[in-house]
Amino acid sequence: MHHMKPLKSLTVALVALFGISGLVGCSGAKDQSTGGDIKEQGTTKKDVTITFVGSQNWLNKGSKIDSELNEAFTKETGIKVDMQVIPDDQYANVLKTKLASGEAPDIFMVSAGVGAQKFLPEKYFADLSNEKWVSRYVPYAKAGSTIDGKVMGFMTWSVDGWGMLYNTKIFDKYHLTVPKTFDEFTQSMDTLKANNITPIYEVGKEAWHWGIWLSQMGAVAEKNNPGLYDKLNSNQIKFTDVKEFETSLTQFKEMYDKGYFGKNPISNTWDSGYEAMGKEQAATFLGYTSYQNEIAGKFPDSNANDWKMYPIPLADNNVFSHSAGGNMRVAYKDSKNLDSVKAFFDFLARPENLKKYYEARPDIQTAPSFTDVEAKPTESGKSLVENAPGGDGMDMEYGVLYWDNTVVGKYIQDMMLGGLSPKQVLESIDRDRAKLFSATGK
Amino acid sequence: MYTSKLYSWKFVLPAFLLFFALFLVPNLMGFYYSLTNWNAMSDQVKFIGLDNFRDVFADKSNFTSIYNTLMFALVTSIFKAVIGLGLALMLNEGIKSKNFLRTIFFMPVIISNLIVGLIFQQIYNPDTGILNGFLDVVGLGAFSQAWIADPKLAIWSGMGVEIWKAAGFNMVIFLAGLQMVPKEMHEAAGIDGANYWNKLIKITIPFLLPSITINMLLNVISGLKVFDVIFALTNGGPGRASEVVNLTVFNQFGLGTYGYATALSVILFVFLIIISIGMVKIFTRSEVKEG
Repeated sequence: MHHMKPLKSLTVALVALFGISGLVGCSGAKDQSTGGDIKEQGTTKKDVTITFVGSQNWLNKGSKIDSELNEAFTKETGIKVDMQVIPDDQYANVLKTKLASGEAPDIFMVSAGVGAQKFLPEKYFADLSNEKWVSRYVPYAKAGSTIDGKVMGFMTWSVDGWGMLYNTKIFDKYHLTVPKTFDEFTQSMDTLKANNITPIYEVGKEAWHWGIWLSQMGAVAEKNNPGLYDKLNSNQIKFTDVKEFETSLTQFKEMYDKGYFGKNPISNTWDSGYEAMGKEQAATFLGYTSYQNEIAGKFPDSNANDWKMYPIPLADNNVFSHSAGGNMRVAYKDSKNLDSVKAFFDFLARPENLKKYYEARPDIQTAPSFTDVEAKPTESGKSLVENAPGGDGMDMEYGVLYWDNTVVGKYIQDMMLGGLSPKQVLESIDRDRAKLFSATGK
Repeated sequence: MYTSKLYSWKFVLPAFLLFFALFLVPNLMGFYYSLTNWNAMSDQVKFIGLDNFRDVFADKSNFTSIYNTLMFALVTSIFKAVIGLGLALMLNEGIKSKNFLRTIFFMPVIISNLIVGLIFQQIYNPDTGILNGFLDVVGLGAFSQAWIADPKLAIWSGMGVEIWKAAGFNMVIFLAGLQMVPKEMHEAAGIDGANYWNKLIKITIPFLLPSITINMLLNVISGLKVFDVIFALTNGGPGRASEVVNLTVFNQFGLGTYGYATALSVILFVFLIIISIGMVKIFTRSEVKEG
């Protein structure tokens, strides 16, 4: 027992220490919140800080423009903007956690279109329909930021879509023209392959890139079956019921089996695409319309700025499919600082500030969201529209609920490697969606 | 002296309270959430009984990840232990550079799994990777493979990385165990005419059983819980060919089906418990008791 005594007193001391530190913690928290209350009561704008959360790749991309505009706003109004940037692959989860745990930031960024649905707009998004800047939105920006008839997002982005970017020099050399049908397409690709040029460079290590191919087929399917997206989103129709999807996957698999994607496409990373295209090792790439600027930046001798685009020629597609305008800033509905947030959006929407913003962002100058800023379409953007007599439509990433390029892309990878048939890919997508529909009671 | 002395339960209390609040409560809540439709799309959490578990087993594609996980645990556990034992036996002898070599073989253990995954992504690259390059140089070019792009090979390549990484850890535990083997027994056996293998099988291994138990247990648990190596190396690809259970859980969380993902976690947990208890029972039965 004599041995026990020092141990016993040590334990008591430790427990007491824990207890005290716990109490100290409580009292600290209390002090802080009281301090905050006092600040709120004496409201001068100078005491207001609005919190703003966004994904890394969406803010300050290639410049410091977002920070500069925040500072200019603070200088003018005294309202501070606390901008927090979160890594891309963590963003959705972090934001969901913040919302669920009652720590919603005053402003947060979400994808436009149906992508916003997963953040429960009804519960968290403020209605911005009556803001003055809404009247200066271009149509796609208004449509993309409207949810259930209310404008719920402040968008300063660009609408963009994916198409087959081709090296015009290589096409001219082998007398190839823009294919109108799948047969014409396979003939062109066979010619390229016979001349030892990889017909299409696929960044197949990135599962999401395989998903993009099918996502773009949504627009033509919607054109052929008006109301398709509504039916998909209300769980009245399944992916397996849409023949365009199965046809396009079957033809896609045929392309893979014929070797159009070169050797080991499954090992190619996203970054390797620039070199393959820039050094003319491959003739075609499924990219967005400003992608050619990036190649031209890295490989100036490639003359990539002159290259052109046509729609993915699967399932007789002749439609330019595009996003709902990328992403937008949303104001938290129950924020104490909602007025300050609206003032911030007003500030950003001033024509001079919009111009400053877009000048710093060459990647989104092709089709700005506001009428005040001049559009600078790329060669591929212009040619993609010209080569799409079927008009335009929204892709599934932005138009279809619960679409996830990575998940779909993995099924497509499986199909390419012989694990799934085209029909089984669609069944797998349906199964995932069924889970979410049943979870939400639809 | 005090081996069988019982201390007062009060001593356990502080640790137990922390363990209870930070580990048991979240885990028990996990069990509850696996019985609900908890998801990212709606606010209401509804009790749905065993539906999630039924869905997990109804989806055949989950069997790939369950199979991969079990194979991963089995193969890596055995190879990590065998290679670790081999290294320990070698480095327990009087080699000049033994401390240096021990450090070298232990080194991979301390590198982050994510970094290891990214490094091996480059090593395994079919066109530019050094593994195929090496095979070409030594005239075994015919054996070069698309190590992580071939769906049949990808999970095995992942196992290779894990074995490379953790064999050194097994080695350290075996080295510690080898210090417990009484030298006199080896000497006596030597006088009686026993050769190296006789001594290894009849003396060294029986004394190493506690080390084998702890190594195998840790190997199996880390094998079943594997996530980061596969996440960084293949991300479960190509397709879902190298997906393991924890990666499926991660992906389902990403999709927003939290209840379903929790059910998968619970299944993995049950597997872990059953296998761990079974292993402890099997291995401790034949351990050499000292004194």
